[in-house]
Amino acid sequence: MLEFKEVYKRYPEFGEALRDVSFHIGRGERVFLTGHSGAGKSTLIKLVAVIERATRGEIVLDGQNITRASQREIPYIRRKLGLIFQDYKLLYDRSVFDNVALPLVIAGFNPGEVSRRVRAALGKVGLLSKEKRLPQTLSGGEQQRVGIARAIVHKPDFILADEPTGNLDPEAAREVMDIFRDFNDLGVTLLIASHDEQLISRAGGRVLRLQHGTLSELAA
Amino acid sequence: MKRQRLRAQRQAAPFSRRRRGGPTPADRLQSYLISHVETAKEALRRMRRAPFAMALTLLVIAVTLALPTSFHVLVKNLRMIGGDLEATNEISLYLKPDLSNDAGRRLADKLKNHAQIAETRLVTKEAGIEQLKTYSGFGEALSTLNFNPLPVVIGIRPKDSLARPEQVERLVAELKALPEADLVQSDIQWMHRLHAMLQVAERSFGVLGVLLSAAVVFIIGNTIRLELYGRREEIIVQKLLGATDRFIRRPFLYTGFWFGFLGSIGAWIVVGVMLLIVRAPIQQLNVLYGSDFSLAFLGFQESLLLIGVACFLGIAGAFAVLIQHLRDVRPE
Repeated sequence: MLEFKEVYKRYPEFGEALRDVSFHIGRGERVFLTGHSGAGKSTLIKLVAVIERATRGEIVLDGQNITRASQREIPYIRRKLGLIFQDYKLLYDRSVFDNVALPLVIAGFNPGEVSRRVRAALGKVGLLSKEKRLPQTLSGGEQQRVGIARAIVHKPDFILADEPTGNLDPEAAREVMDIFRDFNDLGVTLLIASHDEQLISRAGGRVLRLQHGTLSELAA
Repeated sequence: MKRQRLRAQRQAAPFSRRRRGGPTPADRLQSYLISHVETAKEALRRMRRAPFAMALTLLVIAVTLALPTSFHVLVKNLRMIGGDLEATNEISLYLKPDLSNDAGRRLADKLKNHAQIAETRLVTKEAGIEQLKTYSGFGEALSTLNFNPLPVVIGIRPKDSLARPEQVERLVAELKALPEADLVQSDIQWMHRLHAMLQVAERSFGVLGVLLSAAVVFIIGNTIRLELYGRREEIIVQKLLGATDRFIRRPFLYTGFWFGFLGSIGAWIVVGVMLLIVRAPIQQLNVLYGSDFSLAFLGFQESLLLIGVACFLGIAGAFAVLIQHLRDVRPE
């Protein structure tokens, strides 16, 4: 599903963020990416979503070498992914429904299909009753669940989450992790960046650790 | 195998639907059209959310478009006046006051055989004073005169007057040299001057039109640029969710379209109101001059052209800005 081959990422301002990173994630795997802040977790996620480009090395996503993807190909690469962010990145002038519908509208689904899929996704995260609400009127945990519904509504094979529980209280964080586990059980590949070791060990799965830009794998 | 199994597993899952993956081509076309209509409506709703800013921008666009448009209407009306005059492009030959109607008639008959003269028309002293009474409004004053001070006039219509102005001028010179002639008046030179002036005016209309069109592009472009930065977050989220540049551009292009469209409707109304305002004094002039000149407004095709050009300018302004600035708005 995802393979990094000797990937380097160098920022002109900060120096090397990732150094000789290689790993492989198979289809249906659940992988956590851990490490202290500034270790390069976000950089790695951004490389997969082609928000940043690798300085050296190769990244292969679903058989496609995305390090050499053209500007025009980027949107289509991102449509294969479900992206989840620490700050949710919801649109606050639109309802929960419209937020979740966005990936489908972007991909050009017809309105009937859009509302069926949005309702299904909202049902999965337990927010069906709040589809007409604006995101501000929801709690942090609920907002992140909207973010998750938006990430899964187009049924991507691969979900990428960058500190998805970073802004949540422990209970909401556990709920979010449970939702992730449900998806993983359905065959969705997961890569979750988090510095919360406790939550990771509770959830269980492969753990990749980044330290000053260098990757090591912890024994399961 | 593993993949198929997983897929089957997911199909059975409660939130899986009949179809997985992307929409079908027919779906895509239908939702593409729906999304265009929706985007157009949404762009309009968004503009209405800031009614004051929208009204101001539209007013500026309307006035900017109204300038060249009213100039065009002005030139068009002048052309029509010019056309009216062309129909009566006569040389008036005023005979010496002491010459009689009979002498005038003889001269008129003689001139009729002239190679460059198509037609002559004799206005006797009596006919002259009758005309003066009817048209000038001096009827009362004239009837107190106990003699007729007017000379005999011969109206001469030259051949090919407009095609060969120099020939007409030669004829005028020839007529002036006649011993019977007192004064020779020709509107034809005047016509040529008017035509030359109209040509200058049309050229200026072109230059003015280009300049003000550029202004409209800038006004709309700038409005779109502000909107673009106001919706920065939204664009970044759309890009993260896999939106193409084309998808992101679409609502802004519609905003540009609406500004052009509504601005041109505004310009049409502005020009219309301007014409209504000058209509009353023109009618007064009509009464005074006994003419039946009526002001022409924009025709159907001209109106369509105005609206079409404005819509194009709006979209062009938006597009130019999007090409320049959309690259700067990206996730980091």
